[in-house]
Amino acid sequence: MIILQPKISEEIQEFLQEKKMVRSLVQAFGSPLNLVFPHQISENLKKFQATMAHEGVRGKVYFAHKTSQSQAFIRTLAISDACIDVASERELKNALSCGMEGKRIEATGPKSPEFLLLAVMHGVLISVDSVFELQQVVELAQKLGKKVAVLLRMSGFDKSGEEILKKESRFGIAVQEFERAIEVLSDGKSFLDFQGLAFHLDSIEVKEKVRAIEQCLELIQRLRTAGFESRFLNIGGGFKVNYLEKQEQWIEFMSQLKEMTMGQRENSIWHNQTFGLRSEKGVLRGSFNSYQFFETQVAEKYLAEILNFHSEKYGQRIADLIAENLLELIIEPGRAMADQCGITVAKVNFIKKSSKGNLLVGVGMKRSDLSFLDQEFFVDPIHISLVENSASNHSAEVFIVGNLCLETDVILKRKIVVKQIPALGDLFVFVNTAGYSMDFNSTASIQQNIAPKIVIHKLGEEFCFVLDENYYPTL
Amino acid sequence: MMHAEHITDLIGQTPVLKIKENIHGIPGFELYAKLELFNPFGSLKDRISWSMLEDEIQEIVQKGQVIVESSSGNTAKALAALAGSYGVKFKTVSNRIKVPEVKQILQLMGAEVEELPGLSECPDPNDPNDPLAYIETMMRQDEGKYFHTSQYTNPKNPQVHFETTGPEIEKDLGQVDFLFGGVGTSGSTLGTANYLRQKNQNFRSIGIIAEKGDFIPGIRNQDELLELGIFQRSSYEELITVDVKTAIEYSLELIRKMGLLAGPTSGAALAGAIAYLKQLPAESLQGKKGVFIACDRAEWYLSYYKKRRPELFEKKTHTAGLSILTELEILAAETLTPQESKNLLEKEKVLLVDIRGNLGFSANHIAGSINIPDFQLEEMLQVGIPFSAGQKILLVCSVGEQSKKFVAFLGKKGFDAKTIEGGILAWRDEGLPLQRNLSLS
Repeated sequence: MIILQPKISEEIQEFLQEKKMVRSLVQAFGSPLNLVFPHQISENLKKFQATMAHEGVRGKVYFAHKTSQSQAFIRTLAISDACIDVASERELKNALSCGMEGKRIEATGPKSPEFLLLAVMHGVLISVDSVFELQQVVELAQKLGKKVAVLLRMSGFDKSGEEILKKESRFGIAVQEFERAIEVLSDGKSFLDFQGLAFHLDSIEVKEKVRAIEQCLELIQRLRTAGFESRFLNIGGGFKVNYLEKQEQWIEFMSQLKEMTMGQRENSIWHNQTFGLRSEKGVLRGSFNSYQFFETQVAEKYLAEILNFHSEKYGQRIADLIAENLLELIIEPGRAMADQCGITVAKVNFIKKSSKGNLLVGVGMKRSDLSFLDQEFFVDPIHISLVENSASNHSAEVFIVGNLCLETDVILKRKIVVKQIPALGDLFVFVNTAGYSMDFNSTASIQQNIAPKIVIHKLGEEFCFVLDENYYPTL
Repeated sequence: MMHAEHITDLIGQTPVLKIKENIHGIPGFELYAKLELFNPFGSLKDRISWSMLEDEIQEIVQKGQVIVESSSGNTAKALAALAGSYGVKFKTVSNRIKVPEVKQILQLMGAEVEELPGLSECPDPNDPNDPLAYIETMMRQDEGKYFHTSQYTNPKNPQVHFETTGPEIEKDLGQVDFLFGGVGTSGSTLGTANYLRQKNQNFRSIGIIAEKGDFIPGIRNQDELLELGIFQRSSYEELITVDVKTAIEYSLELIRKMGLLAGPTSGAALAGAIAYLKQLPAESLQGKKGVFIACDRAEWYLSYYKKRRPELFEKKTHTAGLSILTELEILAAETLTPQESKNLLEKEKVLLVDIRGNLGFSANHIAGSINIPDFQLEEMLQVGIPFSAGQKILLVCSVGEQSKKFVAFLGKKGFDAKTIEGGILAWRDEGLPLQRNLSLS
């Protein structure tokens, strides 16, 4: 059985030594419990900022609020020079109530008329998703007598030249509609404060992002001739995160998964799932369709790679192209900002055997309390044993199952190794869950708990806790 | 045969080259490279590409079919060349082509290159993201339009090596004891070994595979072997894993000490051969012969080398250049605020040099400035100072960092040079005037 040892920040490692405190917190607030460490988010912010400065571009970091509903994160960012990207009316309200002023907020994604109105009222930067939306903004601005800051979000790049197959995107203004967008911009000129272009690609490929940047520069040239000077280029999010301590373990796991798919190794995945791989006439086919939990080119390093990419088209580094065109960079990292900012703790409710004799450990949480869009979380949880002289001291292979009366409610489909068979009341800690794994998919199905968020912070040498909604950072 | 009627006449019949003993380091052992890089399209894939087409090409031409393959390298190059020489189209579908030169050469040859999109940050479990699945869908949607050569499953792949590569080696070297070759589709090692084994009971075939993690062009790692339709584990006495660093190291041995411009995959085969042989008792190798496959040339992979061994390509630092400046000297460069700069420009005769690229310059610049992009100015400064002595110089760049180096350098040379603090961006933020070259935008 493969171990996928989590990468854990020093702060969280130190906190997990305080077993009694962890246990008391679960007793007080129930299982599952989300613990957040907002101090870390400012550290992550600084890394992005340092990279931009080092590569010679000016820029702003807009934290993608959708990553987490924690208020502590936003209050912490609000006292820094970060900005925030909100994608719903409630996210906007939350950002405002946590101290982000309208001018530091960007509204992205699909927008209801109410969301759009509130955003315009607060002077929020609107990342306009369609020509339709641009017309809506002009109309609102006109009625309210306001000048609204807008970015045009573009998509469907690369219509000519090299072929990279693209999935259809539901977001942005297709490049073919660009001229139409310029017309609307021109008509509404007196109500708009045009700020530049934006895109977000659903791909982690640096080359594709570079090509999109090159194409945006062309569009920016076109906008200049129409009398619109861009100040910002927003290259979206998608900054990767590494969850694992050891690369060898991830490589070995991938090997074993392939061997399981080919029937060369006993399958240790629940219901023999193979995550997109399949065996066809003795040949391995398909591809692993999950997040890569081990990564080296993470967060600010990934940004540096984009900025240092040498554009063939212009013969210059991307960073230089951006700076020379008097553009400032906007990035919208979410997961990467929340890296090492939280853990999820669940209590052991029962131990039993499956119909095929597999050992199951039932915990007080459901798959959706952890899993983002039902994707597997390929990281071993930490088992905290609270019972002295536990009945068994030998290791075991177990599946972690949830608290819904559903066959599919299996928390980890990978069988994992525990050093000793868990006892009732033991805890399992899932590490690095603040990015998308805490509240994105969480539901109150069959009236099970939705995990509350508790902030863990240090006062002097001691760890303290406070409800997420009551946390204010010290200045 | 020096007179060819068709380019396909030049495929195969490649020579072998003896590797110097001081390179392989095994006394009394003869090691040869089978120079597959001598094939007309540059690699051992020329053989299989032609063999997969030879019988059907007339029919493909008649039907006007498009040849399609999933390859991001040598097979695509060979098929593109063959398709072109018969006046038919070739299309390759692959995941990312990792070596940009390979893609460029394919474009030069007129091949249609389709790359699947990169992985999503939140992958969709229903998306196959698999080139072969994509080719299958494409073929179903347009029945009869495509001819899929299918190198990973086509039995003609190992067959052509059985019929040509193996016999050629035997003809040139007689009985051979060891074959070393990178496992890509596994066709070359399988076919060649099957032939040579018939001639020598003690023959051993050693497959060279790549370490997991980084990649060696054209060869598989342990996991990827599972993706091969024609791979037979039993055909190899042993599989040797080589890492990227070693593969590059040994290809440099071939390039620099043998005059053989072989790429990283050939380097991997040589490295694997030596690693395997060194674990055998030296006396058992006396008088024995081995051959490894030098599959393609180094030139295809310049960016591959560059990314992994950047120091091989570093410019020699000119003692006269900017690199002689210390951090302190750069920090001490004299700067003016945008407003001070504007005042100076109005009052005195100052040469204003904008060192940004031309795209940015044409779009926005300070009136009266001259554009000399930084890399060009740096080159100029290596040969001399392009400014008149006593001339006041004001340098400006995007954010005011790059220009400080030039100012420091010029200051050291006794020139009166200053820069605008915060660059053009700061100038703009102060609301100071900029202008554009309309004709250029």
